[in-house]
Amino acid sequence: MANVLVMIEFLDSEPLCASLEALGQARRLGSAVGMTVYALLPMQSVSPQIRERLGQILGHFGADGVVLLTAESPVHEQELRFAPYARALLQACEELPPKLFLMADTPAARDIAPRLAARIGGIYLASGEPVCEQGGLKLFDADGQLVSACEDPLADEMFAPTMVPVVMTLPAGRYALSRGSTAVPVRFMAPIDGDASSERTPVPGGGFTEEGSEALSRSQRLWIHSPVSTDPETVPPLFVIVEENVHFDRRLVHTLIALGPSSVDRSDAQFAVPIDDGAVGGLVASVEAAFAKPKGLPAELNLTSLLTFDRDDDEELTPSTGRAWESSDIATGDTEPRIPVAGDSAGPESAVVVRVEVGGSAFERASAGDGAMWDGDLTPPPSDEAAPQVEMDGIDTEPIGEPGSGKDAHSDRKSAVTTEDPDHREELP
Amino acid sequence: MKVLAFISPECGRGLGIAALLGEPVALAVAADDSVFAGLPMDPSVERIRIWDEALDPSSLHAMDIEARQAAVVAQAARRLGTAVVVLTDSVTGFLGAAVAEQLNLAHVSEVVSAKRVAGGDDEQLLQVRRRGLRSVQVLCGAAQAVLSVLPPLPSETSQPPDGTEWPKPTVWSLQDVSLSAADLPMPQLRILSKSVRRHRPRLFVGADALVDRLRRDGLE
Repeated sequence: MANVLVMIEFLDSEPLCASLEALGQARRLGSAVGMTVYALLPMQSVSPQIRERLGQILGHFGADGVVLLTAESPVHEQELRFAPYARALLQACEELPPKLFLMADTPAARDIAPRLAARIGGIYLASGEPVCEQGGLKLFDADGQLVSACEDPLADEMFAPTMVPVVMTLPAGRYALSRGSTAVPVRFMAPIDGDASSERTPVPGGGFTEEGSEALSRSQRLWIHSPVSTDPETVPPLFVIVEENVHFDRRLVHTLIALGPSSVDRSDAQFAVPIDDGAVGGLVASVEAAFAKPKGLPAELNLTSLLTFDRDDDEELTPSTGRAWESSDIATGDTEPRIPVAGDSAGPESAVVVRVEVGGSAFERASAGDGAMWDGDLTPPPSDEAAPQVEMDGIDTEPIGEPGSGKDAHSDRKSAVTTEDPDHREELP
Repeated sequence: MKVLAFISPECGRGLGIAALLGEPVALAVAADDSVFAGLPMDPSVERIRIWDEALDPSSLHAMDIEARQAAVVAQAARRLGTAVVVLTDSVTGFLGAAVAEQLNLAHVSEVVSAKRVAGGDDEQLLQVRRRGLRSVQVLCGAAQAVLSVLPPLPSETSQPPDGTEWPKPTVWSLQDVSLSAADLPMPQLRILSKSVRRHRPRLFVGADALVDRLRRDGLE
């Protein structure tokens, strides 16, 4: 059976939400077309209790198996990159030959994914989209073009075509989490022993080691307001909030957050808050205020301190899964519609304008349709043609778990009060 | 030390880094010389342009184009004897990794800046600052690497062409770097449909929900 490998990133003990989204999509694809989903964790050996807990957590989020990748260097680096895990990754790809290798689009992914693709002779699709349609796996590139691997020129009646692995990065926010309840086995994947420069596992000579790191402040990573001046030493932001008609090169910014009534139609943004133009200033202030609030502490002990071998104590240690995702408003299913467009001719679709009251101030927002889609709620079901037909009955890990209807999920909010154009509730052609 | 600087759109930051690291050699894979116009580069910098019809991007997917460019850049680096290649992060992000793979060199992505530092025994090392999820990672290693540099920020001013006559680049063919069209990587991807799918962003109702999600993606 073919495999889907999903590399999971951790930050302060918690798997990134974007990584779990990639795992969720892998689960749906695996169930739909028959692939085994493995979660790869760049992590040193952990205690049996942690191992068991990781199997429970990642099984819950869609994995059929968990593989702990052992770094070559005993020194834990602050940032994830390819070199320390190169040989363990190659070993994983050799033992579990992937048809798909997925990672959330992060700085680490942009280091690991292309190099891995080059190493294993695979196809690399940045910000791509793997979906299952009509019973088959379909791949779309960053521009939304349907692509497929070229036919193997050496294949004939005697020689089967070679399976070319596809390495993809997936943007944050595009897919929903998978939810299940199966505990899965956890295994280790150590680097292959032997000469580092052997042909079997060629590893770049030289190599770099981490000398240190310069912590980035939140304002450096998230640009709510662009700085007055920048210079070549300025570190580009990972997240940026932009208003209408402001675009950022996707090489510079990983997550673009668009504000404004037409932000819902922006294909270059990962997140949108489609508020009225007049409310943008208030929202920006609210974002700053929300960040000023203390971060909620994980309910359970985190994994950061557990990345070393052989703890002496027998304490039951449990990794955190983040802040209450079990009952959160994170969506299930594909979180936004994919809209087939003929060439570049199609313009943005008409959108419903919904008046919303938040924090006592009313503003209008543009909606793609059903009011239940807010805050990551599942986008209204797209048409059959555009839907990822991956949600099958009888799968081992149920990928679809609506956290109640959208209204239930947001019962604590003041909800939409008017819908001005019910004839344009669905944007799909 | 010669440093190969790959010329591409918005390569200003990369050119600056290449000049800091040593004596840059500007290499472009392009059909004409216009790619060199307006670059913030000293007139004395050696310029090389390589072209062949097999590198025409019109019929290939972006990833395949970069795979072919990588083969050419790697061969050019071998011919020039440059152990450091500086390029700007490409559209797909594959170019730097593919060049490094062919040259069997370390690859550092998302590079913000780089400089040479003295190591032991008069050895010159590279110190590279790389953007990560929560910090800028300072990496140090031998002066043999491929650096994929982040493009400049939009507000960074680029100098417009001032009308100065720049030296004509040396034009190489594939044969000049010991390649033929048959040596270039076969296309791996084909575009099945010209129609494209657009995506819509995930929607948030307000600041708290947005901030909560950003925190889950690593923004503390």
